[in-house]
Parts: sequence; structure tokens; C-alpha cells
Amino acid sequence: MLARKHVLVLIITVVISLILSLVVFPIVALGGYLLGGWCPPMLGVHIVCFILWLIGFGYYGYVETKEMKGGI
Amino acid sequence: MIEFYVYLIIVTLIILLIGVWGYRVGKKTAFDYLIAGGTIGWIAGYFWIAFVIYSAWTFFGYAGYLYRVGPVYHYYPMLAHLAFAFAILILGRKFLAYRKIYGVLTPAHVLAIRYDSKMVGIVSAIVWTIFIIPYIGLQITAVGAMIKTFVGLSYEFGVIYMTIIMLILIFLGGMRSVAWANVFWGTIMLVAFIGPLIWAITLIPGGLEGASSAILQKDPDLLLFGKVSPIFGLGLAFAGLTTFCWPHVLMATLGMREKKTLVQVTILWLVVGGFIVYLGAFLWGNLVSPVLAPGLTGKAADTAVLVSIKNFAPYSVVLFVILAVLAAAISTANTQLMTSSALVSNDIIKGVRVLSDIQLIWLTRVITIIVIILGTLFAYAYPVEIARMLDYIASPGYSLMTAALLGLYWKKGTKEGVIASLIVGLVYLVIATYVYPPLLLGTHPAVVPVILAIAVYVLVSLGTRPSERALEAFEKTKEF
Repeated sequence: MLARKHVLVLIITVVISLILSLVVFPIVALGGYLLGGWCPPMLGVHIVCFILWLIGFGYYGYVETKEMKGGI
Repeated sequence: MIEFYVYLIIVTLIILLIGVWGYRVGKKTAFDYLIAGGTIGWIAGYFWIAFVIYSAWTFFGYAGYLYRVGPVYHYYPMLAHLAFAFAILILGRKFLAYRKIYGVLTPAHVLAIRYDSKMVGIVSAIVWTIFIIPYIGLQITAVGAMIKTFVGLSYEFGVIYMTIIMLILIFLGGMRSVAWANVFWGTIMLVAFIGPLIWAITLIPGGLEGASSAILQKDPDLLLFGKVSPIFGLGLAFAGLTTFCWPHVLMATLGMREKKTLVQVTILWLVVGGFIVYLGAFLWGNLVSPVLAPGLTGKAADTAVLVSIKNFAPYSVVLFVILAVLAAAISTANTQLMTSSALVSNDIIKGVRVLSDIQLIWLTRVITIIVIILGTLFAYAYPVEIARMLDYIASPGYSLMTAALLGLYWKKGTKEGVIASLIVGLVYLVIATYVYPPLLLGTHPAVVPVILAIAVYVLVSLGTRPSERALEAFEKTKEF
């Protein structure tokens, strides 16, 4: 069963990544800003989002695997 | 040129070996032929799923869009990575439960059981199959055009070679051979896509920083946001988030050994996809190709990566990259062919007629040939930019299944809700995309039809009652 407390970490990381990509990115990009003076904003968003998803899915997968009492 | 023939001979021999191996170890049952007997572990599982998703589109359509439109187009594949992680880990667990309890063989079969309705299985299979054909056409077009443009052989040579290779794998070893061949195809693609990228970056004065400055001076839109409206950009993001409905990806989850395999595949998917393949694809399309191969417009922009490589690398490297595009196309089209054929044989024909396992296997093989022909005809009849075949035609069609799939987690969902939502969504999508585009409200074709389809699903489901068997299926699989 989907353990709710583990899903919460996943949901939080996904929500933060969506805010970052759908709200922060357009503001930064349409404002004409580069990250660090040269990096396109989408590149920065991409890297941070994937780190967040790895934390969310990784934590969820790790805990679920640990609690698993055998394969399906 | 001779190098290309040598590459083709080696590849053909390896594929033949994988096909024969699959035939020898296969058990000649539909379960074994269609979903590899549920035996795929994490290494083959990762390559299977990842290189079903990474297709010729990664080389051509995606890079071409970034090149012409700018970084906002990255919304689609980036958020698709999130959606696919959801499909593999979360939906995949549910699918494995249906496989274990009910012995299902296809995603449409899962929905037929969940909603206790053969009609849901048939309609779902029809919708998925209709939209998978253009996607197969995309792969065939890309390979034929590339072979003609960059190798000098005929368009037909590319199409026929690709067809023969796919049929060898599918006829001999079924899904097991298709999955393991993706390990081979994926390795070629990784080497050919990332190796020249690192090389290319070293050739740009100032590296990535230099490329960024050059593009900023020439056309800031191509570096910062992109040449579409923010509302269309959000539509691209929405379309990316609905890619968990792709039938060939869901089909692959049914072939995985166990839940733990899904976790391993998901982690690899995010690590390799986020920090190698699609980081590389973004750099190719947004920063490197605009500097190394400037001035490409329209359909020519689809070849930006290949033209860039041609501008600095020896011809033998270009030919190897062409082989990698072929690998990318076949690795995707193979599973798509198996999936669409299985949907037709297992869910549409077997939905109305009793078939033995052997009949089902042979029917699937025959339908494979028909689907290849239809895909090729579609590509001939509707020659658009490669990117459009995926994100304007195939992907919005798959997205219509959003409500039905999310209904695996909503007890009140009913078969009437699924069928009504698919009919309304499909009619709206076709009219808005091909007859009266203002109905799309200025955003991506997936957005309005899918939101409408979800609303219809919820309203109709609330006005009807699920059957006892549908509720039983929901409860039995709830723990997963």
C-alpha cells in the first residue's frame, strides 16, 4: 500500500519542482536574467528539478523496498 | 561509406542473435511472448523503458524545436521525465498487482478488469492504437530521411532495413528479445549522443559560456524563454505531465520482474535521463547546435545535431551517429509495434472472440506487419516536422487516457465515465486540432481536451454506479 508519510516527501519535492519550473522560471527568463551570468535559466531549473525528484522518488522507493515483505 | 555497411552487418548479426536467443528461451505462451513472462530485471528493464522513450525524436524533433523555438520547449521532456517516473514506480506497482491477480497482458486489459467492462478495454485499445501509429510513422520517416540525406542511400532503403530488423526481433523472440535488444540499442545511442557533445563543447571558443554569450548577442529569446507565449509554454508543461499515459511505457512495466525492479529502474531513469541524456539533449539543441550549425530553418532544423557533428567530425563518426539514430528509432518503434499489435489482438479481437495462446501470438505477429504499413503510409501522407508527430498528434491522443488511469486510485470511477470521457475528449481533440483551432484556446492541443475529458469522467462517474466486480478489482489491488 502507498504509505502516506513516505508519499508526503515525494509530493513536497514534486510541488517545489513545479513551482520552480512553472512560476520561477518564467519570471527569471522573461525578466531577461541568466544564472551566474551565463547559464540559461532552464538549465538551472532542469538540474534542481531532477535533484528534487531523485530525493522524492529515491526516498519513497528506498523506504518501500525496505518494508517490502517479498516481491510481487 | 563502406564503414556504414560494416556497421549495418555487425548490428544485423547481433540483432539476429538476440532474436534467436529470445526464441530459444521463450515458452511460446502469450504471457511470455507479449510481456517477456514478467522476468525483466533492472538492467534490461532500465534500457527497455528508457530507450522506448528516447527515440529518433530526441535527436531530431526535440533538438529541432529547441533550436528554433528556444528553451521553453524543454518543459515538455523535462516534466515528461517526472510523469514517466510516476508511470514506472506508482502506476507500475498497480499494473504488477493486476498481472499477479488477474494475469493481464496489456494496459487496456488492466482497465477492462478495473472497470469490469470489455468495452472499456476495447475503446481504450482503439484510442491508444490510433495514436501510436503516427508515432511509429515518426520513427520510420526520421530514419528514411536521414539515410537519404546523410548517407546517400534511398529513403526506401532506410524504411525497409528498419522494418526487417524489427520483424526479426518481434517474430522470433517477442517482447523478451525486444527488451534485451534495447540494451544494445541504448548503449550505441548513449555513446553516439554524448561522445560528440563533449567533443563539440571543446571546439566552441569559451565552451558553454562562450556559446551562451554568442546566442545572447544574436537572439536572447532563444536562450532565455523562447518564441512562444507563456500560456503555450504552460500547455507544453501540461502535455509533459500527462505522458504517463503512453501505452508502450505502461506495457513495459508489465514485463518487470517485481516491485523492487520498478524502484531500481525509476532511480536509473532519473539519474541517467536527468544528468546525461536529456541534459545532453538540452545542451545540443539550445547551446551547441545554434553555434556550430547556425541558420537552419523549418524542417531543416530537425537535423541540427547531425549537421553540427558533420561540421567538425570525420565521416566515420557521422555514420556512427546515424547508426545511433537508427538504434533510437528501432528501440522505440519495436515496443510500440508489439504494444499496438497486442492491444489489437488481445483487447480488441480477443475482446469479441475466443483465441488460444498460439492464435494470439500469430495474430499479434500479423498485425505487426499491418501496423508497420499504416505507420509508413501515415508518414508519407502527412509530412510534418518530426516534433509535431509526437507532441501534436500522438501525445495529446495518449493523454485522453489520463482520467481512466487515475481512476485506478478513485473508487467511484465507472465504465460509463471512462467511455463518455474518451468519446468527448477524442471528438474535441480532432475538431480543435484539425477543423477549428481556436477551440484550443491558444495553448497546447493536449490541454483543453484532457481537462474536458477528466471533467466528463468525474461527472458521469458520480452519476452512475460501479459494478460489484469493478469494486472487487479496486479493493483487491488497493494494497499496491
